[in-house]
Amino acid sequence: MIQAENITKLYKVGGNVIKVLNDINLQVEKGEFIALQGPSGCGKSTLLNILGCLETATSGRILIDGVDTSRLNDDDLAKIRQGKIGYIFQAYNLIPTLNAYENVVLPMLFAGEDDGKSSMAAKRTAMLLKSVAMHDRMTHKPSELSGGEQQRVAIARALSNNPSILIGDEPTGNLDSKTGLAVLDILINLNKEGQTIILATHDSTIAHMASRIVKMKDGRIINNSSTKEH
Amino acid sequence: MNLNAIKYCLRQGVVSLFRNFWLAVVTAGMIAVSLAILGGFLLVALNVGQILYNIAGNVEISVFLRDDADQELIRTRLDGLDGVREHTFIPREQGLTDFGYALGDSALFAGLAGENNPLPDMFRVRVGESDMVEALAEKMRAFPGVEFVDYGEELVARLLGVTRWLNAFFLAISFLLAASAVFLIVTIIRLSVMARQEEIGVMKYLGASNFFIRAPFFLEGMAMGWAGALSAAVALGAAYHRLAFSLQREALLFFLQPVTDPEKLWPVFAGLLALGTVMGGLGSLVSVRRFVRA
Ligand SMILES: Nc1ncnc2c1ncn2[C@@H]1O[C@H](COP(=O)(O)OP(=O)(O)OP(=O)(O)O)[C@@H](O)[C@H]1O
Ligand SMILES: [Mg+2]
Repeated sequence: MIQAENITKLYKVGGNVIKVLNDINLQVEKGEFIALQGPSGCGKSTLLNILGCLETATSGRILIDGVDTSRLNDDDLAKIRQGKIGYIFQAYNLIPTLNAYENVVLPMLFAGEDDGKSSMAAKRTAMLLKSVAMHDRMTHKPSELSGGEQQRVAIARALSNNPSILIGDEPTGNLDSKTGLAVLDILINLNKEGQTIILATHDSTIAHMASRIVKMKDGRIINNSSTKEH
Repeated sequence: MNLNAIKYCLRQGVVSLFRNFWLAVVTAGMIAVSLAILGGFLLVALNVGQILYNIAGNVEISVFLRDDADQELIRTRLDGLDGVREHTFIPREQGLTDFGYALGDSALFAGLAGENNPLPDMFRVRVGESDMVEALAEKMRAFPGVEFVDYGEELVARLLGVTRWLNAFFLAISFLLAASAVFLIVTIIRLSVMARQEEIGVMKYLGASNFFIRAPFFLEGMAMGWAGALSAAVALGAAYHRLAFSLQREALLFFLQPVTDPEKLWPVFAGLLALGTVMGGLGSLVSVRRFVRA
């Protein structure tokens, strides 16, 4: 349902051109949990950003649910990100001026699902916060929450518009191992309920909980294997 | 507790405004200064216009008649001319008396009375607007029975020249001031965008359209422009009120009276407010279109 075909990404830095992604082909099936592994600087974040329609590839194309995204304009790409992609970050990146509830409802606002009165949006937000056990902290600002709590709110936010795929760029990277495992637990449960997930991670214990590990090096995929065959 | 689009954009705009509070104050202050100068120029122009109008309204066209002229015919012709404010018939006898008074020695002219009077009959015509004097005089010249027509050609020409020059000057200065204020807003909004770069990045990940990302900055710019314009209007209004009041009390020449008619003054102040808001909106629009993309 997400298909990357011959993705190449070049960056110009000063006079030099660096090839960050080199002919990447990747197919993500519905219900998969993919771990993207590789040394720092190998291009994991860049690939996730291109899969998430935040950056465009220099060549190649991304198909999301059959739609070729390379021909879309800014606003159509924004619509894909609203409806099909949920993103979680290493640094949580909640909007600091909004409380937990408002952070989760925000993508619904962007998607036009919340007009300020919709009880559907309110119910869904409460349900999402409950699913990450944050429903008793709805009115807290991010600065009043711990790192693990912020990341749980961020997961609820990423699920806000019921995305086809949840993309995580080292979502446990800033957390201690216990809190990190709790967050991972939430993700594993979501995957069991059918949520498609792709995570970049340095942590091989996390990687081995995934259904498939994709290894990258120097902008190429060097190993693409199911953990069951491992 | 729910958000809606307007509430969200307003709130983010306000937050952004207060994040750079002193910068916003300085920007609003500079907009206020440039708009106050602009407004000051406009008020001066308004007053100069009124003074010129007063002077021009006192420019008389003298229409001298031939002996065989039909006075009634000319009277109806004058009534039929657009732009003529009033006209008075001066019979030659009265012309002589007036002339004597003007020279301060009426006795000297006694001998010129009656048959010896060298003056013709005439109409004194007052005109509404100074730039019509020339055209109207030309038309009167063509009336039957008119000997010749006279008016302060040079004075009128010079006044018109001065007004045109002043208007061009005001226009140029105003344009320069407005342009620099807009440039200032572009810069400030750019700083504001840079300060919120990370948040904008996150909003993009969450699927915010250009509208949602740009609207708060747009509101921020408009608010600065509006606050600047409001302070300019209030300060200028207070200053003008005091100045006009003291000028009036000085009982200067009638044509130096300041403009106090609210009908003429309010468009200047309303215009300043509108202009400040538009400048703020325009500046932030330019900045946001250049520096923020979803
Ligand atoms: N905007 C950019 N301009 C130029 N070079 C960039 C840009 N973004 C990333 N790069 C380069 O692309 C390469 C891959 O970066 P990327 O962030 O994808 O790596 P990564 O695998 O996520 O690393 P890490 O594990 O440290 O997060 C790096 O060498 C980086 O310097
Ligand atoms: Mg990275």
